[in-house]
Amino acid sequence: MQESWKHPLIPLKTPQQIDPERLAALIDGRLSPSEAAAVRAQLASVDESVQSAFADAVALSRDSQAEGNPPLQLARRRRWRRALPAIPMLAAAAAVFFFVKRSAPETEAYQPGMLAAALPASVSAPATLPWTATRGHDSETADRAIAVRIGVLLVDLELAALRGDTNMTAAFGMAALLQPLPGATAIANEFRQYAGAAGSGTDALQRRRMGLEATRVSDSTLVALGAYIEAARLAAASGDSSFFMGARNPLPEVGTSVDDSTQAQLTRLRAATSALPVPMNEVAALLNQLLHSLAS
Amino acid sequence: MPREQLETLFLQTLPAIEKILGGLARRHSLSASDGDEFASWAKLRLIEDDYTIVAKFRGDSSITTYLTVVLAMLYREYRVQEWGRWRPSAAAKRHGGIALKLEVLTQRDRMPVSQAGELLRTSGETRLSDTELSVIVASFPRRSALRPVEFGVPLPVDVAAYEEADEFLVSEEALAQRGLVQRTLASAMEALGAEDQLIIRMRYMNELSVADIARGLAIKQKPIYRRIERALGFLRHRLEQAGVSREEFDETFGN
Repeated sequence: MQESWKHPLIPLKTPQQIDPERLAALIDGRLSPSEAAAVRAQLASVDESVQSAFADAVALSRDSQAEGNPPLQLARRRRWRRALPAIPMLAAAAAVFFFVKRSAPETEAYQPGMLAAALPASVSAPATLPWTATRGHDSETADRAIAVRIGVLLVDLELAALRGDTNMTAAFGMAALLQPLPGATAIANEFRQYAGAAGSGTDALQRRRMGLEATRVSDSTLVALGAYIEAARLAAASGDSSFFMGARNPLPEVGTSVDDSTQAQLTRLRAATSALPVPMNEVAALLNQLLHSLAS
Repeated sequence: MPREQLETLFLQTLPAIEKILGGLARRHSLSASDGDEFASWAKLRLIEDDYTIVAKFRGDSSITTYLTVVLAMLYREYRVQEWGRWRPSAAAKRHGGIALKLEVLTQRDRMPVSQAGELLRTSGETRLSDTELSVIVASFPRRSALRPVEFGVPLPVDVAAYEEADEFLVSEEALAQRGLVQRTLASAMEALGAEDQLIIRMRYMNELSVADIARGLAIKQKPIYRRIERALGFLRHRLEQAGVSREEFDETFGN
């Protein structure tokens, strides 16, 4: 369910109110085409003073980037470039980490980190959420969808960190998803802080701890399924069939956590990913269907 | 989020906030003192009620862009609060365009015509001389100041400055024609689709490039060029029907 447009903070003196964060998301290009169209339609119908404020924001966001003071994402990317010489060492560390996790008991493995590390270097964390509606504090999103989304976002978060990208879509998404969950306020705040600081000052172990805590407040089986779907979806979109070969990235067993229809979809997916060659288009379509049905 | 964390987030983003506020002050040609005054007011708004505005950030956008939009909106609120709800006079509306801005500067802000003219010419909003602007100002009704006015502020109009009566008449004719252009244009704009109106306003009133409009509205550039071209064609046709020449139209849109 989409949140109300009304924003209590900016009491515009017009009959219509508009949510500044939706406008900001439009400028950042973080809305789906349908969401962007909706915001544009609303913007076109509000008072000219609001339109002028929006124009100011567009101009200022451009100036900010032109002056070399971009939003935190780009600034950090430059810092990452300065760290290029350390990449071989980091890769070795990641390999050790991967090995250790593979050897560790299932309960201790941090699946999102492993899945993100298994993706080809050309794959980046998505800049937009892979679902169309924005869920917030008042959302009535089903527990199942929340758990699957947590898994999806944990992979995106790890992927962004691995690539040195400060795209914080996943971190902010985590904070928003966790906030309304019982006992999850503290961890939601940690993700929000992480996003606010563009990930700086947080290492892989801390991310892992945050991810495991987030997993604990939800259905861990579905979190694992969401993580697999996201990583597999990104692999399929990039045409990387090696992701599906062998037992490297197994499709999690979900038992009775999902309904019969989803079980059937998972069976088809399992069959498709076991085929040689892997029918990538079919796999991609199945994954997108799964994500749509489970995370909505 | 606890207050301490909100405070930390605010402090982390303070350099970006300062930069945005500086950008707004430059964009609206605020003096150093007015810019400082607005910046203090805006920062107070951000931290009041335990950082409510910061706390409302959900993460749907980058924090910097969110703050940019919020501060741009707060600027409008500040102006309304600072200067009251200014409503243009019928005379200014009749002349349209530059007259509306000129009335704000000379009547609301009590700025001398020479200073207002300099400001408008520097910002590229007009090429009219002080004499021509004085003719427009002379048509505005006199109002009491919304803010205390210091004794000795010069009257905005000095019609005695006209040395030649003909110059006054020529200017009046030109202004009447400009008013016709503005009124016809306003009417024609209403016939455009709402989103096309928005694009035309962003392009010609807010002076954004097509690249900026495309980025801001998340639309590809190419269709925007086509939409602007189509909208201008429509507006030109409407204005020509109303007796406005192509040259006057081009001057209005800076073509």
